[in-house]
Formats: sequence, structure tokens, C-alpha cells
Amino acid sequence: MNEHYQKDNSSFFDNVYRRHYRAVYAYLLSRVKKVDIAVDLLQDTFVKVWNHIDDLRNILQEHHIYWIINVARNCFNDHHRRLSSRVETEPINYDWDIAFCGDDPYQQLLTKETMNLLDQTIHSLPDKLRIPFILSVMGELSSSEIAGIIGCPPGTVRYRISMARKLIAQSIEAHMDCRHGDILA
Amino acid sequence: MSDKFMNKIDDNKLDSLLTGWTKAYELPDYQAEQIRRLAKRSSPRTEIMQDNWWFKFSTNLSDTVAQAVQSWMCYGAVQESYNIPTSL
Repeated sequence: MNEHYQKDNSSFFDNVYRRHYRAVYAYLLSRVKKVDIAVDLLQDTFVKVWNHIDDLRNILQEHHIYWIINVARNCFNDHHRRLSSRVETEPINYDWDIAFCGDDPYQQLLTKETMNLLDQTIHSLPDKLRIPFILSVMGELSSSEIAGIIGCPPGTVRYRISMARKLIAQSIEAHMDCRHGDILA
Repeated sequence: MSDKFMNKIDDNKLDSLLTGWTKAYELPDYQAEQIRRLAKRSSPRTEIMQDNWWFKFSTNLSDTVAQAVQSWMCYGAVQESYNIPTSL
């Protein structure tokens, strides 16, 4: 009986994990801005979810994501309290996937530069734009789901996402204008 | 065609950049099973600090006594979670 219950819990947890880990990761990344910390907090979050799996079972399936994000929020707050100061954004140089820009080396260099700029711009957006934006782009959540997480109407979420996109595009355009000016000079 | 127009980032271009950006942040291959295994190891320590009756009851005792017994209980929890024999 106990073994059957354990097995049942395990498959329930695996399902929940598969369905929501991406969104939870996106949420954590939007708060901490660093992959390794986001991954650690993601793990902490799902350890807590597993430890309280019976509580989760009593919640409607469509509300699972909000419950789990709350757990993630608590993990983030604990992490934040442990730090004496806020984690600053650091420029990172990922091995960006730039297959879409073709074989031209100059174009590739430009795209890598643009990707670094894109990353810095996203991470320096104000919280109210960055969080819904990353939840949408990376977490693949709808505006209603994001609205439930951050506690504002779906229309506001859509506005903030489009505002974030506009600021990002402007920042890249400004950078490209400068680059173009340098070349002409 | 003006330079300004050439450097315009349209929705498609931005989406392509964002796809590349998202890929760079893709998660390592995490399995739910790993999390469950980790939870089994870490839960007694967490539970005993937060939910145990002793944790609530100890607020009525002097700090020194409470700390001593708490340390003893946490030691027991760590032993249990890692299957360390009691004699150790």
C-alpha cells in the first residue's frame, strides 16, 4: 500500500516537474540573473515541492504553477536575505547560437556582439518589465498565467512585454547606429 | 535607404535574436528523479528545523539548553539521512 502510494507520488511529481520546470526556471532567472544560482534555486524549489507533495495534490491542477512559483519566490527571498547586497549584473560571454546569421565572419562577429548587448539589456530592464518578459520568452507562459504570478491584469502584462521588446530593440538599434558610425568615420 | 532604416530591428529579427538568447540559457538535463533523490537526503534536516514540535517548544527554554538539544537532534537527523550508524 505504502509502496504503491510512493510510486503514485513519484509519477505525479515527475509530471508536475516536466510541466512546470521551464517556467519556474525562467522566473528564477528573471530574479537572480545568474544561471548557476537559478539552477540551484530551481533544485531547492522542487525539493520543497516534493517534500510537500500532499499539499500540492489538494490543489487544482490549473493552480499548480502559482503554488510552485510561490515556493520559488520563497526560495529566492531566502537566497536574497542570505546575501548582504544585491547581485549585480555581470556581462557574460556565452557561446551564442548564431546559426541564423549565416557564414559571413563579420556578420557573425556583429551578431555575437549584439547577443551580448541583448543579454545585458534584458538583465538591466526594471523588474516590472524583465520578469513578465522572461516568463513569456523563456517560460513560454501566456499573459493570463503571468498575470496570475505577478498579480496584475493580463492587459498590463502584454503592455509590459511589448514595452520590454521596444526598449530592447531601441538599445540594439542605438548600438548598431554607433557601430555603423564608427565604420564610416 | 537611410542608415537608420538599415539598422531597424523588426519583430522577426528580434525574435531570431531572442531564440538564440533562450538557447544559451537552456537548462542542463535535469531529471525529476534526481530531485526526488536529493529531497530524500535533505528533508529530515529541513523538517526538523522548521516543523518539529521541539523547535516550537524550545522557545520556552533557556537558549543554552535549547541550542544543545537542537544540535543533538540535528546530528541525529543527519545520521538518519545518510544512514550513519548510531555508534558513530
